[in-house]
Amino acid sequence: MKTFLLRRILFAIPLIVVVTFITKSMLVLAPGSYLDSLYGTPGISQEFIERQKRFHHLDTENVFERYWFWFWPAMRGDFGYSFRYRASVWGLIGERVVNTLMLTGAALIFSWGLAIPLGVLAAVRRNSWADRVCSFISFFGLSIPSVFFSLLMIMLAAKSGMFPVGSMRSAYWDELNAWGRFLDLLWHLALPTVVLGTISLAQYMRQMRSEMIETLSQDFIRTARAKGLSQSRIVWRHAVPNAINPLVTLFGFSLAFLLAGALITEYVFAWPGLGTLVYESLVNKDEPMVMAAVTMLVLMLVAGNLIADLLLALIDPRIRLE
Amino acid sequence: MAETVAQIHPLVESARSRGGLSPSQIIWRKLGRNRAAMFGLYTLIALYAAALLAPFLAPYSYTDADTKLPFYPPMIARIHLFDEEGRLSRPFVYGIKPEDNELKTYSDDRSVKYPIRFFVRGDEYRILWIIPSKIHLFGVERPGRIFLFGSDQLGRDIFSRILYGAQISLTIGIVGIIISTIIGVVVGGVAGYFGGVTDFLLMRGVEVLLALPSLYFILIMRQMFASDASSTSVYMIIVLILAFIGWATEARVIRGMVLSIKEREYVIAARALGLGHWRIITRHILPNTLSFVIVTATLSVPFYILGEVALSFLGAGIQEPEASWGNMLTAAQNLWYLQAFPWMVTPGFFIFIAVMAWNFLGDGLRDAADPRTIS
Amino acid sequence: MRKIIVAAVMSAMIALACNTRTTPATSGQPNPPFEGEKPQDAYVSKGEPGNYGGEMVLELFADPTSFNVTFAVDEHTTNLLWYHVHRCLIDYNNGAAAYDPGLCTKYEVSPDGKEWTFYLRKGVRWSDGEPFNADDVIFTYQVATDEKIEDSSIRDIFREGRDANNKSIYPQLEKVDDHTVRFRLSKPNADFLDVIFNLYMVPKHKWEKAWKEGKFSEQMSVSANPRDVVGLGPFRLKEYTAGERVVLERNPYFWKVDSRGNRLPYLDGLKFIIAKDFNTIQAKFQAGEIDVMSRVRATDFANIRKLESDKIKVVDLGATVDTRWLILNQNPGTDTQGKPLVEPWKLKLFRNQKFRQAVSYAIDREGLANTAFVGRAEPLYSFVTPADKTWYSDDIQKYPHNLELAKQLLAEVGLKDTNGDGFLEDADGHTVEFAINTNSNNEMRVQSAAFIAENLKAAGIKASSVPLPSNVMIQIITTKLTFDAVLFGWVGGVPPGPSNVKNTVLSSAEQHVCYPNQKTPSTEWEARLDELMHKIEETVDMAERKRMYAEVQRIWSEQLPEINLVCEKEGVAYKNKFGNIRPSPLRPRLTWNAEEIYIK
Repeated sequence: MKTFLLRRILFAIPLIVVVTFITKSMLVLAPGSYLDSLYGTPGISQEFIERQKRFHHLDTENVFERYWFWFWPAMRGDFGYSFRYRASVWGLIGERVVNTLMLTGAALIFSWGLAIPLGVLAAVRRNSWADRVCSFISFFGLSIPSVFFSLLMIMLAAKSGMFPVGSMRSAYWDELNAWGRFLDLLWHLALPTVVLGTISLAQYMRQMRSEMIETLSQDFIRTARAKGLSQSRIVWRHAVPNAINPLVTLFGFSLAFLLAGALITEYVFAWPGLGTLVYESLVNKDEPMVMAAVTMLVLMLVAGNLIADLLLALIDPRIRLE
Repeated sequence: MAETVAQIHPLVESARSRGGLSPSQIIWRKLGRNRAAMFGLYTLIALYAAALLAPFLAPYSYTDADTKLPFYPPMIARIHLFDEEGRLSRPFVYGIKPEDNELKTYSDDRSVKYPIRFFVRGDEYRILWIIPSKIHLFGVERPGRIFLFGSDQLGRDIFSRILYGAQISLTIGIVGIIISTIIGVVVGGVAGYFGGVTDFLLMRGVEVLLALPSLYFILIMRQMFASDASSTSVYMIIVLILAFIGWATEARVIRGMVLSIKEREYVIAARALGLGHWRIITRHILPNTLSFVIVTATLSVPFYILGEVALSFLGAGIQEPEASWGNMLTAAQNLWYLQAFPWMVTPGFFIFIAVMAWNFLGDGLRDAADPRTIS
Repeated sequence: MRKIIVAAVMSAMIALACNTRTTPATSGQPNPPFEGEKPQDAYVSKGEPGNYGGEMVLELFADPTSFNVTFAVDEHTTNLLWYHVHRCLIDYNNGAAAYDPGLCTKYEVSPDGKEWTFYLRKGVRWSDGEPFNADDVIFTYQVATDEKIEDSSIRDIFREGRDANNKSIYPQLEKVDDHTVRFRLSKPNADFLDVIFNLYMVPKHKWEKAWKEGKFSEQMSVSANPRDVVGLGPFRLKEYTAGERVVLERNPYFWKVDSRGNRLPYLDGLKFIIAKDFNTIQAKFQAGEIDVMSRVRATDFANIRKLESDKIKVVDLGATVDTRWLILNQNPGTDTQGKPLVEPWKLKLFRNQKFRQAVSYAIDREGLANTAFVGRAEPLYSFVTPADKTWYSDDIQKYPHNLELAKQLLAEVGLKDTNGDGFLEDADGHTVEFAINTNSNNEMRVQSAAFIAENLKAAGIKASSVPLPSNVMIQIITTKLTFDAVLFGWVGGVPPGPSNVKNTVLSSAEQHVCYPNQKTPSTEWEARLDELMHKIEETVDMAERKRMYAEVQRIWSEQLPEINLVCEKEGVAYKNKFGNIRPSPLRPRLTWNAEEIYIK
């Protein structure tokens, strides 16, 4: 167990170095720099841009040199200042991570909260109308492009006026009490959560259904039936705990995508999350920001996979980590 | 010997028991009985045929703009079959009278009728990129316009642009999957067969790729190739970037399969006979992964289609005036447009249908290729 | 069981749907908490007298990048800080398009245009209560022209030139007395007020120590304590939550009074809601969450106009000072490998005035305005838009859409369709074709480029639209210089006028995109433009300056270094409850007189 953990952590280090190096080289090789976005702003001269270039070490095209400028301070925990916001990258990322976690967390609760009961229902009542509805939902969720789904939702919000079109808070947020703030947040979360959650809901529900069908056809269920246990007891006490194992791995993976998976939804719903921050930084070539974000996303992915493995070992005694 | 073959490939066994059908025949039969899969297959055939014949089916070219008629609503429900006296006539549409230039509203100009004609002459194009032609399936005489699905902000026909857009959005899936499958099979096959250091290095590479936050990486890579801007190279760049991210999963699974197959008796026998590595891999190992490869390929086509949509939507994909389903949606992303001109999101339905069809087909193929399911 | 779940879900949804504002009350306070005594010679505002209290909720398109006004360059930061939190020696009245003595009681210029004297108002205090005097002006100027501060751009605006040792020459600032300062220039500059209008005051008592330690640029970052941001504007920073809001509160020491002698500002504060997308802003305005929309784009105007009622006012501001243009590359230079930047046969065409005029005639500006700008733009034929009431001249050459004339001009240039493919060829058989580049992240520009390419095809020119990512686009027009044609635009500075366009009009300028950084003007008309621009700067007589600037516009429209296309019309919308709002096409459109705005 200990060696397993150690090995995974040791492997994460070269992984991060390689990934950040690739990122940096691509940023260097891509034409243009952050300073281009200042072009044409009244009052900005070419001289100023040249000065800034030197200041931010953007005057060399040597990939290794540029990587070193980032890597050496980063090794000691200094990830630098955002070019654009002149503030520490971690401060900026930290604020956004919370927002993204709120959104993806809500989506996770939504998708898992619905996927398991619906999957079980579909499996128990195979070929009933409930099963058909579930399979429709799952095909719908798997096939609908999130861009299109988001636009439809915005259309709905704009036409009905029931939901906000974008953003995370109402303008009068600071005048609300704690309960009002909570409701306001839920209200703003509703649509993006549905968009983001539906896609994974489909995946989990299908998985749950097929695992459940498999489990229900096994001998111990037949034994339980023969013993005369009630249907609900058989399903919830015997079948579900066995069928859920493989989904635990999926759950770990979904943790890994908590931070990385919401760019499009955030973008369309103007959610002030990490996705939009990274996207903006990429477009503006705010290198320190992109580098820090990539480092963090990779770490999340590694951690997510690790958690998936650990969870599986915890639940399934047949699996041993070595 | 027959015993071993049956163990290796359960399909062969079931084939024998069914009176000598080959495995692929069985898969076809099973697939044929799966209604959803067949629906997907027919839908895809229709969509791809439409894409292929886009210039012929589309009444206008994708750049043809009537600047006086932006945001004209869909005419599909307003094709008239009966004239004023209520007599059945040739299908026709009325002329267009702009009403409010600010709100972009129009009314029918009932004094002019434009009958819809079939096989009319219009813009010149090339059939299958070779034979020049001017014949379009249908159209109305100028200055009349037929906007089946409405017109966009420049006054271009959305129906025509969807057809032209299909050429890009749909083929990206096929081209991408071919590229990534080839890479995935080669890398996975080599890693699994040779093992050792080769395997270790290749698999670490695969793990790095899987560790990348993919959408962001696609965007970074897109920036790197930003300067080359002709429409063909943008297309190829997008395909290659998506394939570059996409092959890793495939390689990993193929490797796993190869690892188990190479320990089978017939591979050991082939090796004992002194056959070369290349021959063993290509003749004895990879063919046994074929059904799996086809199934995963089919199931991952939507990744490419959706990838193009996401990229184009974010402005990093196919560029105007070229039409793609993704960049057509970008234009719809305005509150006013969404409320007043909802037909701007029509391309979204087509993406949805295409992806759904691929999913149906992929699911059906998986079930059909799975020897455990007996239909 | 099932019923309970359904009921719970339903009630939750109802609760969500009915979640409306609980505490809307913002009542006016009879005695707003002003501090310090009234300034001795306070500025008397000319607006109608109003009531105290209430706040205004506005939109801000992006997070501010700094609260240090010396480094504020991007549009969003300046939208927040300028006018509201910080002030210059003089104010600009956007409504009247004229300078207004703000912190000064008056200013004087010597007859030779080289000495500018500013008389400061007495009794003015900073927003932390410390008195403001000539030392603060000197300090601000020292910081602004400090060459050790790497990332400040303001000194480039003050620089008059360089001496033999390549050392910058800046105007000399001297303190005449505690409330008088004088700038001595090395050469006359009639536009010196435009230069001064970039010098936002920073308090000496607060930052002198940090500046001497070389740490000035680290002060007042977005994560700094809002209390440290001390200015002379009507409001001061109260609170900033990244990605969400910036709250400004009344500056209790503000130095203006209304006509009844009551101190300003009337509003308790301004609340900027950070919303990065127009859809959100629109929806929030529709829902009444925000009070004003200071930018109603062409694509949103019709939708917002529908909201007009006795509660909401939508104002069409007409043309703005921003321009859009198409430039044909006239640069005869070569790249580092000696390859010409533009193919010689193309360059010959692009440098031909008739060819450029033909292109201009071929462009259907009305159609462009009707489609890409949804009807909200007007044709533009020179670089000055009608929104610039002071300087705009209508005596210019105009190019209404005229395909016949365009074809005739192209024939005069010697272009004929020799191979019958529908496109013109030159004498050597080159098909006249070129790519129009534009930045792909601006949808209107992408559509404009596509539109113009179609226009030109109709005239027999094989043009194609090639959108590029914006950084690539900027690179090709600043460093690589290898392009055929670009479609781009300028954001107009405030105040508009000759001093703000030097960087594009002068042939030696970096943003003279058709052929930048020329050592000596390559054509006679460019030489004439340079000469006129220099004369305008040195001449004090306004009528003479206007005449010369009109000539600049005339030459521009005849020679077409930029083929100007359209200027977008914009609008503003606001709740009718506010008094004293006087919208202007110049930024900030609604709140340039924030201190006078009150709730009726």
